[in-house]
Amino acid sequence: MKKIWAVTKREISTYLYTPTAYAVLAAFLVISGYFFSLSVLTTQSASVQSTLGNAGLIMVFMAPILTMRLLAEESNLGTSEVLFTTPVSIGQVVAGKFLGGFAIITLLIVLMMAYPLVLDYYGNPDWGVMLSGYLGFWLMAGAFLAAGIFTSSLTNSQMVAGVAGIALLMLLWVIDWAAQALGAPLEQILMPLSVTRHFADFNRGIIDTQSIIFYLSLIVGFLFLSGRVLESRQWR
Amino acid sequence: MNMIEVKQLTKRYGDKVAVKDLSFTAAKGEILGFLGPNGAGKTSTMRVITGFIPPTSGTVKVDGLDVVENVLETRRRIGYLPEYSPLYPEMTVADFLDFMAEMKEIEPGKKQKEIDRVVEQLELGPVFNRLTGNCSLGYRHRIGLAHALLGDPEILILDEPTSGLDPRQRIEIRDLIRGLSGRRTVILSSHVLPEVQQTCERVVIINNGELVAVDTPTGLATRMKGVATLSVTVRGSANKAQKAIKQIPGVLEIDIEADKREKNINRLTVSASPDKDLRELIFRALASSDVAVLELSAQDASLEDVFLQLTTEDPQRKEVVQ
Repeated sequence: MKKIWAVTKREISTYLYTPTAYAVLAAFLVISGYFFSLSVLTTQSASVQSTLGNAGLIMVFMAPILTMRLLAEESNLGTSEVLFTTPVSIGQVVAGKFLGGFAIITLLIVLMMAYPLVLDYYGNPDWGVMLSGYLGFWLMAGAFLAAGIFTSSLTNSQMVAGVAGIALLMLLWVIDWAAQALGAPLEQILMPLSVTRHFADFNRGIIDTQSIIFYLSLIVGFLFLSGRVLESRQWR
Repeated sequence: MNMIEVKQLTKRYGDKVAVKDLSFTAAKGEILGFLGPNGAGKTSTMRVITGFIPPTSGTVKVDGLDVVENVLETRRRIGYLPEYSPLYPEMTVADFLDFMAEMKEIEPGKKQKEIDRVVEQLELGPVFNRLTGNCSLGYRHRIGLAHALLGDPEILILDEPTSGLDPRQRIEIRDLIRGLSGRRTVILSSHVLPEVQQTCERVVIINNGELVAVDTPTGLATRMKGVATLSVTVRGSANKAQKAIKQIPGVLEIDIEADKREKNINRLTVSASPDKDLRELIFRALASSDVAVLELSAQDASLEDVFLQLTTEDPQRKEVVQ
C-alpha cells in the first residue's frame, strides 16, 4: 500500500507541476460552466442533470488527455526500467497511477460542486438527485481514466495513447446507439454495457448497485488489462 | 560464494537472438566487467539479471534465488543503473531520491539518512533541489548511481556507468566503483576498455550474444600471447643490431623501422617464443656488437587487443586467443 501511495503522490505532484492538469481542469470548467449557464437560463429549473450529461461527453475527450502520459511516458523515457527493477509490482504501479489521475478528477468534481451551490442559493434543488448524479459522474470518470490508462499502456507515444483513448471512449459512449440500431438480440447484450445508460440512472437520482458494479468492473477490468499489457511487453 | 549465477541464458526478441546460451558467475565482493560491442547482448543480460525482463530459457540466480520465481525478492538485493540513466525530468533530485527510497522499501525513519548518505557520496549537494531534467549529463549519471546505491544493496548492476562523462568525471565514478570492491558484487558494462582493465577483477566478453571469454584482464592478455613481442630502439647500424639479435635462441622474427626524424636511430620489433624473457640476452648481444640500446621493452597485449581479436569476425585472429 505504501508503494501505491508513493506512485500516487508522484503522479499528483507531476500533474500539479506540469500544465496539462491545469489546462484540462480549466477547459472542463469553462465548457461545463457554459452548459450549466445555458441550461439554467433556458430551462429555468434548479437541476444539474443536463450539465452532468454534457460534462460526461466532455470527459470522453478530457480523461485520455489526463491519462495519455501515465504509462506511455514511462516507456518513452526509459524510466520503466528504473521503476520495474525496484521491488514494486506492475499492479502497484498501475493502481498508483490510476489513483493519481482519480485524485485530479476528484478535485474537478469538488470544483464542479459550485453548480449545485449556485442553484441552492437561488432556488430549491433536489440535493439527493444532484449528489446521485455527481456520484455517477465520478464513477464514470474513473472508468474513463482506467480506459485511458489502458490505451497508454499500449504505446510509447502519448499522442497515440490520447487519440486511441478518445476513440475507445467514443465507442463506449455510443454503444447504446449501436444497440438500438442493431435491435434484438444484440440490443439485449449491448445495452447493459452502455456507459450512458448507467449514468442516466444516477443522473435521475437512481443509485443502482448494478450500475456501481458496472463502473467498478470497468475500472478493475481496464486496469487489469493495462497490467497484462505491461507484463506482455516485457516478454516481447 | 556466487552472488550471481547465469546458466545457459538465452533471450530472444521475436526471431532475433539477443543472448545465446550464456553462462557465467560473479562471486561475492567481486567486480565483474562485461564487455562486448554494441548489440552484443550486454544490456539484455543485465535486464534479465535485474528482473526487468524474463529469460527465454536458462536460469539466472541472484544470491541463490531464481529471478523469475522470486522477482521482487531478488530486486531487493540489486541496485541498478540502466544505460543513459533515465530519470523523471519534472522531479527534483530530492523528490526523485525520496520516491526511489520509498520504492526500495527503505524504512521512513532511515530514509532521510540514507538519502543524505548517497547525496554526500555522489556529491549531489549543489543540484539537490534542481529538476533532474535541468541537470548535466554528469550529474544525471551520478543521480542514477545514487538511486542504485540507495538502501545499500548487496549487488550493483551498472550499464555503461561512465558513458558520456568527461575524463575527470570518469575517474571519479571509477574510483567510487573501486571503493565498493569487497563489500558488494558489481557487474559493470563499459566500452572504455582501460577503465574495465583498471576497475574489474574479472572480465566477461560476449559477442553476438555468445560468451567468447571469461578471465582476469591479465589472464586474457597472457592467453593472447602466442608470440612474445619486444620493442628495441637502438642508435647505430640496423644490420649489426639485427645480426646480433638473430643469434639469440628463441628469436623468431625481426622487423626494422628507421626513425624518420632522427638519423641513425632504428626501431626493431622482435617476435620471440613466449616461454622465456629475452630482454637481458638482447641487451648483452647489442652491447657486445657496439650498438647502443636506447629503449628495450616487452609489449603486453592490452585488453583492447584481446577485445578486438575476440569480437572481430576474422577466425585467424580469434585462433590466437582461443
